[in-house]
Amino acid sequence: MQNPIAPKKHVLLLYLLPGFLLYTFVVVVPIFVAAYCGFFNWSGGPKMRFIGFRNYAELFKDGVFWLSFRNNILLTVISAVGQIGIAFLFASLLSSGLVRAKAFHRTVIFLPCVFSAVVVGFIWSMIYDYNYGLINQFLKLIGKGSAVKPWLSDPKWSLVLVTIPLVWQYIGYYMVILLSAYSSIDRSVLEMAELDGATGWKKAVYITLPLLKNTLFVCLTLCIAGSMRVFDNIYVMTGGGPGNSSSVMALYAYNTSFVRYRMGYGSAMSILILALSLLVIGGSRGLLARFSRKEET
Amino acid sequence: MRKFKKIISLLLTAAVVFLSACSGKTAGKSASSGGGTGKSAQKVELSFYNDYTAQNRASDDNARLFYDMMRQFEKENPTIKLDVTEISQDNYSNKIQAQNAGGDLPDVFFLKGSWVQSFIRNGSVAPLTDALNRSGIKDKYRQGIFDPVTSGGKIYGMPTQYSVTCLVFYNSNLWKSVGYEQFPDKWDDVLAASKKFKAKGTPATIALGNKDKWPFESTILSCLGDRFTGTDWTRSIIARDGKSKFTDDGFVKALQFSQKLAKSGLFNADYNAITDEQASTLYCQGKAAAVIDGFWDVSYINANASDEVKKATKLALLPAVEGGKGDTKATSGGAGWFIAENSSLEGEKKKAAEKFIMAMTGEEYSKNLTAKYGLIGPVNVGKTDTSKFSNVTQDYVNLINGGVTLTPIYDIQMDSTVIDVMNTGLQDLLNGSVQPADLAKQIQDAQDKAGAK
Amino acid sequence: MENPASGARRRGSFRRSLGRVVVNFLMILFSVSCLYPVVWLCYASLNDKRDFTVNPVALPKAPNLDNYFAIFSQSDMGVWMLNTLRNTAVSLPFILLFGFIIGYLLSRFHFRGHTALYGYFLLGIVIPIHALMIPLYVQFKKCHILNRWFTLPVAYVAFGMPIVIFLVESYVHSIPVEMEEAATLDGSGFSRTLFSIILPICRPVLVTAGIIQFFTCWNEFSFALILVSRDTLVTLPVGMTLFKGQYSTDYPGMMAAMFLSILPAIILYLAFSKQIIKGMVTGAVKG
Repeated sequence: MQNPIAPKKHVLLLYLLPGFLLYTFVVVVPIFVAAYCGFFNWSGGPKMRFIGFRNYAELFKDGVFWLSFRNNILLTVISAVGQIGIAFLFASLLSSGLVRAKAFHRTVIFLPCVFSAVVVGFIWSMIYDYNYGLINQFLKLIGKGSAVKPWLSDPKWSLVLVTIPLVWQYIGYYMVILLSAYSSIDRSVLEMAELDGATGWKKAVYITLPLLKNTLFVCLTLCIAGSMRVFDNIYVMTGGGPGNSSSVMALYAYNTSFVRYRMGYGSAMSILILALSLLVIGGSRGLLARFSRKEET
Repeated sequence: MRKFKKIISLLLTAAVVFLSACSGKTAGKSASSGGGTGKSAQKVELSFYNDYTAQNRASDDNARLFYDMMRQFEKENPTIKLDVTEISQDNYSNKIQAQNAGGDLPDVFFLKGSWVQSFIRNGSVAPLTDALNRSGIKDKYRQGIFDPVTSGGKIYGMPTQYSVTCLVFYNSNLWKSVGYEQFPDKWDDVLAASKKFKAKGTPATIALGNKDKWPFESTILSCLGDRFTGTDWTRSIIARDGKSKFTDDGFVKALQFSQKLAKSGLFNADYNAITDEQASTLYCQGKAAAVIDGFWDVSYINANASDEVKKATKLALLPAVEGGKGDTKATSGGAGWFIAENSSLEGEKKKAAEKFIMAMTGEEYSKNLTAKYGLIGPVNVGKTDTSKFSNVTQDYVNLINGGVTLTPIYDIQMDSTVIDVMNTGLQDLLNGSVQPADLAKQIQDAQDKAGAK
Repeated sequence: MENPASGARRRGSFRRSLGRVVVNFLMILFSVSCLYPVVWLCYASLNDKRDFTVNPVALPKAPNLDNYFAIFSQSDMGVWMLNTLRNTAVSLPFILLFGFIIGYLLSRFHFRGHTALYGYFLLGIVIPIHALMIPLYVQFKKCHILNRWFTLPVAYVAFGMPIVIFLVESYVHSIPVEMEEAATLDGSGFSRTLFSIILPICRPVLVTAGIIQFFTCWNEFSFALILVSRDTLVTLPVGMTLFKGQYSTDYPGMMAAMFLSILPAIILYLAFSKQIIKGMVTGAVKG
């Protein structure tokens, strides 16, 4: 693209190089090393035994892995809708003038992502606690004492229950990103829309949303990336249990490498996780791009 | 406003600097590992990694004694300087594994029994058989304690503790109230009592906290399984000689029985959601009639139970099962953690390392452990006077010294993948999501994959 | 006679005020839920271990500062805090600098390999961290950069860049090219345009990214555990794990430590919040 403002090629390279080299050294090279290790039978010491693609072959038949993948997808969907959806709602509300004490909300809602997974896990484990947890107390209060149960022990609920704290924790993260994007919207566009009669949620959905499209794409990418490799929160709350009901891929990979001492297999798994994540991100972007293009026509 | 902010930031920075300057621990440490006006060129420095963090030492007598003796060793051996690093147990494995992969292991370090075989295979640890033979007290060590660290006739680690993982701590007052003077020696009685406890409104007959997956397997199944299968079966599984399988009758029956126990409501309702410690806490508060846990609960109950519960606490072994092959006076135990020496050490360093290791795990340690805390160490020091210790400690010592045989703890000696599959599957088994025969097959598959030793 | 229009207007305004009340109520509810953990950490850390295990959420019966005294006398919390502060302070400028430059270049110039480069930087945020712990350890060891004061900043900058790159890239799309074209016509060179004109416009996104990365670096755990071993380099998140025992956990003690560990970050965040809000709100592109 002939660009009058483009600098000379060597200037461009000079600017790109430092960051690129650092990133390659610290991030990309280890990823290739991990991929390489995936071809070995390796239990952690200096000795490794080459076994070709056998690890990857085993992965495709590994029931626990694909169960974890399914859990990750579920988690990603809930997170995308919950984190970004609610963040967009809050960002819109805060920018709309309906809400008072904006600065308070802005500051406080971001707080949860500052907490470590241990803190969040602990708090929510308390909420789900069988004896003094908020949920069971509430149920007893409204007379539904029979519905009381040890929530995290239930394999049917465990995944959803560990996803809720994640959503709660990161709403602020996306809200802050969206708020900063809001600030880049030209005031006059919004004013004109209001004059045309678009107010409230109509304005939010039909005017603001398209304007924030790029930012939302990025938010979605970050959300998917984070949800596919989520580890800490699940580890603290259930460790993937009971059984494998709340297992996620990163947790299974960690267990494989550091608990079962099958590091070669664990490395292969991590590379597959990377590939699957890229696929999901690419796929979702493609879908959204097609969806938004249809709208524009 | 800007000035105010500047002041805050300055104050904050000052506070941080001030705090880091007067940190109690570092000040204390510089005495032992700080600047040497090292006149003696003879000083040997050993890097030593362990997981006896300050928090551990506060509640674990084993850890506290170890550290006291370590400081003593430094005083008595001025030519040996110890560079000590503590890491919490959860992260210890990751750290040591990373160092192992990088060929960067410390000179002396703790190792969990279940990792040792892998380290031996990789040639990372040095054999300590000669040092042990030289110490002259090899036969005084408790039976079977070196099993996890033995390979090809050589011993690769010295035990840092004597662990018994399956002990029934029961509240004799509560059991008396439903008609049992002592903890029942038949499971049917336990289940009958459980019904009575439920009627009374006691939250749990036996407290169980299996959230971290290992407790049920390590503190109950290791012993319960033995009741059904007998110890020969266990040893064969550990040796991976193919003669015994998890799909054998005995083990499957053990799984069925476990599921039955869980279904009967014997445990607290949230047994898969709370930790081992929370379960012990339940017992300490008098909300559970009993808790099955390891020797660490002796210290825990001493430290945390109300006086009423503490005085009423007695110990017992797991009841027998009908038609089981196992010894009814057996319980799971052995050493869980060991100290190992880096195989790359030689010369002066090697001598110093061996001296340190043997001093920390020898007769003196066990003697001190019994004398100071009433607990039992890796070396048999004969009968001791425990009258000055709590009734819980006394009961523990009497039980162990009263002719208990030890069977291997599953997670110390079986293959790591097998254990992980077992642990994960047990959570499902207990809540009914998987059936005993299916779980047995899953575990056996993992065992098959692990291959011969 | 009532004007039907004014009736409708009154109904409309009633609905609007009800809506306002509901919205405010919900937001306050949510905000309180976000604030509560900090409050809980604070009062629970004044509790003692036994009372805490009886009822973790109750107010302490005999509040005391014992846990805090224990922390300062028995642990190196001051050192940990200093290390974490230093690591964050060193990493953040570079994360923002590299992220800004690369994000801008990716956004404006669609050179060959542009999409591939985008995907290249995606790798850093999709790989599970634990897979890299050992390869990174071995690599750093071979290059002799383990256990140095700059070990963690090097890792943090590399891993922190992608998010900033993506945020900047999407933000720059909303800046009309006319800005740079005008500057070029005025005779401004590329570097000058980039830093004197574009950088200030990007303040909102850079402030946002800065906040996010600040806390990412502050709370980072895995690399801090594996890549440094020296006592003098231990960071806050790693140091705090020392409060969890093998068989028992001193929760109030741990919570006191947690509270202390988030306190400086929160204080800094609040102290500069005015700046931050200003940064977010200004920079709107005017014609």
